[in-house]
Amino acid sequence: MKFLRIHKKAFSGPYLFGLAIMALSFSLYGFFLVGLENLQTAVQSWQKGIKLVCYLDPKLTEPQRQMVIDQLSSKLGAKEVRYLSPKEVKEDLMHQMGAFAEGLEVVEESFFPPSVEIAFGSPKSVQELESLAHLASQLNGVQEVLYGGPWLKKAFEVLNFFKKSLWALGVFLVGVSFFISASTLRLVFYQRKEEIEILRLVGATESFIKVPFLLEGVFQGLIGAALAVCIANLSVLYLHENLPPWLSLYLPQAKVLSLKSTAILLGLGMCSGLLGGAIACIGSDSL
Amino acid sequence: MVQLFGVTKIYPGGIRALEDVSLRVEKGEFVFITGPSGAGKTTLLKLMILAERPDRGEILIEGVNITRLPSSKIPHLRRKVGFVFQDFKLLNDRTVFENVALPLEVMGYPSRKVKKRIEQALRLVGIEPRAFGLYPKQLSGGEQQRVAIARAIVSSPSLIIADEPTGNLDPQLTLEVMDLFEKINLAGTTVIVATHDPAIISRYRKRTLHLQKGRLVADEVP
Repeated sequence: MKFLRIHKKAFSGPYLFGLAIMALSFSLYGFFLVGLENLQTAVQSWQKGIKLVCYLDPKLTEPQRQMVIDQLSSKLGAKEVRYLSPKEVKEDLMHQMGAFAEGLEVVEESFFPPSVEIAFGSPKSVQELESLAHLASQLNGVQEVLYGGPWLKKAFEVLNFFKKSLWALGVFLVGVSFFISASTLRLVFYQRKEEIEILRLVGATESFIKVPFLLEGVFQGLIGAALAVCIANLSVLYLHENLPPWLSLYLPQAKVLSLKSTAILLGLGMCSGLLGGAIACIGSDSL
Repeated sequence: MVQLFGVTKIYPGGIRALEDVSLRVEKGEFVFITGPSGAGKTTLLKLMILAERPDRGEILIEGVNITRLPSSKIPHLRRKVGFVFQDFKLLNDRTVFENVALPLEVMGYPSRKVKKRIEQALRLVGIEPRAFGLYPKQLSGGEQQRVAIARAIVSSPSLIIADEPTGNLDPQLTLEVMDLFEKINLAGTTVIVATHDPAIISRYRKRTLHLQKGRLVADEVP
């Protein structure tokens, strides 16, 4: 195991500088990853709670209204159907608007149409919601159907954009980290030029000389990525504390980097460190 | 032990460091290589451990032609040769014991398993046990050179090559170090010492090869 040693002078200035730069660049990636995970959680929680709101014709009699509600419940496979009278619609709206609801107090209750809120047992995709909304709008007595479909669609588009950007950023940052690692390890090689020369003279093989440098590269990448994971997680916890209340509804709990994302970051760190070390080793033959 | 046939070494810029040098050093011999600065002494020694490659000619060490030895085999050649330098070339962040353990470490021996062997080598060169845990900078020049010699002999090489080993030492320490090489030679190891100090050559009366401008101009056997 002596063969797999790390040099005694491993943590020299250039090495620590490289480590800090790697930690910063991986932190950027960590922010993206943790941001994506939180966005995904928010969209999923929104998607889970999404409801179809059917505004009914105010002229419907009580039996007619009940018939429409029954039809909606059976045809759409609803888990829960809740009828809201014009008064309840007004109260709900005022509750949602919070401090901005003062102006609504003067509006007559009859201005608000009676409506039915339909909740589903399982999260629905945008396409499913679209077809259910279409089905509901075909029923007699239903004037308008509203649902968060277009917004959900936009949220998914943003999510997909984030995912693609993450790949591009990942490739870029691995490249940057690899370059940093190679450069700092090259400097470390120069710093230990004499030591390497002595090792060669006493009969050390190239692998005996270079494996520690590769390990130092891997270690540098691993520590850099681990620091990045900590920075990203601490940042998300801090930001969550300061989220506006309306956003907190969708993100009741801050989500730190998942095990999978942490493993990806650490893996990328180790790989870029290893590649950097390998490149530095190739360039060291002339020393 | 060592044979050179028409060896020429030309450095970039056309500088001829060695020109058509042929020589033969027998097993167990003690040989001085001398000549003025720039005569090619260091180049000649470097060629023997393939720190440089010759441009022409052949070099045989223990009957093996090393001239075209692949790079991957060079470490194995160097393990058979102990090298001592004027500037000691000790690792300053390792203790005396660790420095001497280095050749054994690169050969795959864990230093605690060869502790006795390292201590023997250090005692042979006159280093007291109290100094085993010290760092090179805590020792005098003479002691540092002794540690370097202990490092050169610890793996029991059949050949010791020393490049101006007394260049940084005062006359008293010079004699002590040269006595040490003589002692090592008497134990059967071939020793080649490059020096430009005529006092050493006249005192020890060994075979002496004279280099001048890269050419072997004399081979004196006392």
